[in-house]
Amino acid sequence: MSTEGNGAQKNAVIRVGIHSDFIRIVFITSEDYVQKASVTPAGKNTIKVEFPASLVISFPEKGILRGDLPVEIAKGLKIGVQANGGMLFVDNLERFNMTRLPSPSRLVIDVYTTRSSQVSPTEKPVASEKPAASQHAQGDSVTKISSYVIDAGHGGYDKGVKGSNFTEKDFALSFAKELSNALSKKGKKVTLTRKSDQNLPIKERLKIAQKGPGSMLLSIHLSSKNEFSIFIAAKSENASSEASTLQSGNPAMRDLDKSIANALVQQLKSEFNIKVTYEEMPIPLIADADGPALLIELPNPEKFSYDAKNKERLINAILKGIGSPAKVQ
Amino acid sequence: MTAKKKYIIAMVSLLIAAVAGWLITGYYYMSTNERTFRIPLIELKDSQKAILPENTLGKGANSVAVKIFLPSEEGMTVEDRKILSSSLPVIFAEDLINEYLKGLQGGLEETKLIAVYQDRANIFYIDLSDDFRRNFSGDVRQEYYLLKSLYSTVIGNIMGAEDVKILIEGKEIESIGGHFYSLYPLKDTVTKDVISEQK
Repeated sequence: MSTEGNGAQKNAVIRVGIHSDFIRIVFITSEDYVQKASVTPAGKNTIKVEFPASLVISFPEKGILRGDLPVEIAKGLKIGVQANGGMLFVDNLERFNMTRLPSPSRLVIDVYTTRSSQVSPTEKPVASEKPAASQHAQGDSVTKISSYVIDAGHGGYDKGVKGSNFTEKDFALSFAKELSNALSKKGKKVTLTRKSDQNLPIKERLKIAQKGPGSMLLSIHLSSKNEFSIFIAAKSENASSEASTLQSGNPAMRDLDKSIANALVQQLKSEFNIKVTYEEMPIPLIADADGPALLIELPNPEKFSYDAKNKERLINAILKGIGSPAKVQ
Repeated sequence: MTAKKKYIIAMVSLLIAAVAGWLITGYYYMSTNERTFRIPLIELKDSQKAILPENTLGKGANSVAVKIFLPSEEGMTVEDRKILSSSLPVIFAEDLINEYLKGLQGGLEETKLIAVYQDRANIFYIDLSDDFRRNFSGDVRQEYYLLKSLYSTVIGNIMGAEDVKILIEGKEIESIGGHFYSLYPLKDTVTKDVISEQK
């Protein structure tokens, strides 16, 4: 997600996100271009996107977009590139919204169609009819989870919950590594947001975690109590500001988040005889992830025994909950 | 008079004006070093005094009934207190926040209020010592209710206050406890519907 300058001519990168009731088209480019861009209707099913001067537009799956012929960037969505922008051709366009956001500076266009839920991006695999262990039902479709990002909460000067003989930052890192190993042994692709005791800002964690809708983020934290808490992002009511946009869950992933959270709750409940809560809160890390994202708080080590047996049971329950049952060695 | 002469006269006049301005401004700032009153981010107009509760208006300090929201084991509690304060919103907010900080626990009560600023959108900037970040040790819910209690204390006592933003030692920081953003004003974080269900 980078924008590179090229002398006087700027670059823009397009990203497309398919949500349950709208399609999000994002132009990532320089701040002055984003601020001065105009997005206007240009006839039935057509939206004109105009930047203040010429720029080179690229789409990761197709490279630099050139020529007058419209290029399909998702099913039912084409872009015809022009010198200083382009025309978006959207099948069954109903309406659209435009937002400008910083870090990275980007122009976000949400298009609503009469059949948005049927549209799928051209670059994504077609959902299979029978969900496998690592697939989760989301409405009528199935999202395949192809990789995992395990985030160890806190780090560096941010110690998190502190006890007489532990700090959350160290516990979370150690547990994240064990969970990562267990997933790797199952042949899963896993990325850790941090591998050592370092302070890692939320935005940096997000950069690491944003690996597309097929990647699941699981953020590991500790509770101050003897209980499990499973968090998903709070519902987006009206993402009118930057903060609101960053802290509201991705609507397309919400059902999936809930489904995985409930599965995880059930697994933990059946395995351990302690309180398990399901919570929805505006936590930015899980709200802004591309794919399904959960934050799990594990019981406080001063109140819960993390001996080898319990750890194995816990990791197994988590793996089952997130859709990958496994025997942990 | 030629155009060149006019140009030279204009430049000399500008130079004199700039030197005079610099001297006057320099004198003003030098002479205000000793001033003890605090200057809010914006000057207060008479009409803005109406944002305070009626009984706080007046020249001297008044006893004002306030509601202090504090984080608790299960969320947030509210306590009725009385503080002595001024009619100036920023000064009142400072006294209010000092009272709020006294009620915190776990080392957070050591936090010092550095300043309060108010911008034209009625966002109150609460500048706190680093103790607020450094001494916080808690989980997601504890951080959430710490932020919500500070927000509610300001919004619940200062009429017209639109939002609250935290600064630490005069700077924006990304997060107090590693779970929520404090880069932005708090309203969007603490006014969303949160759901908590025991399964």
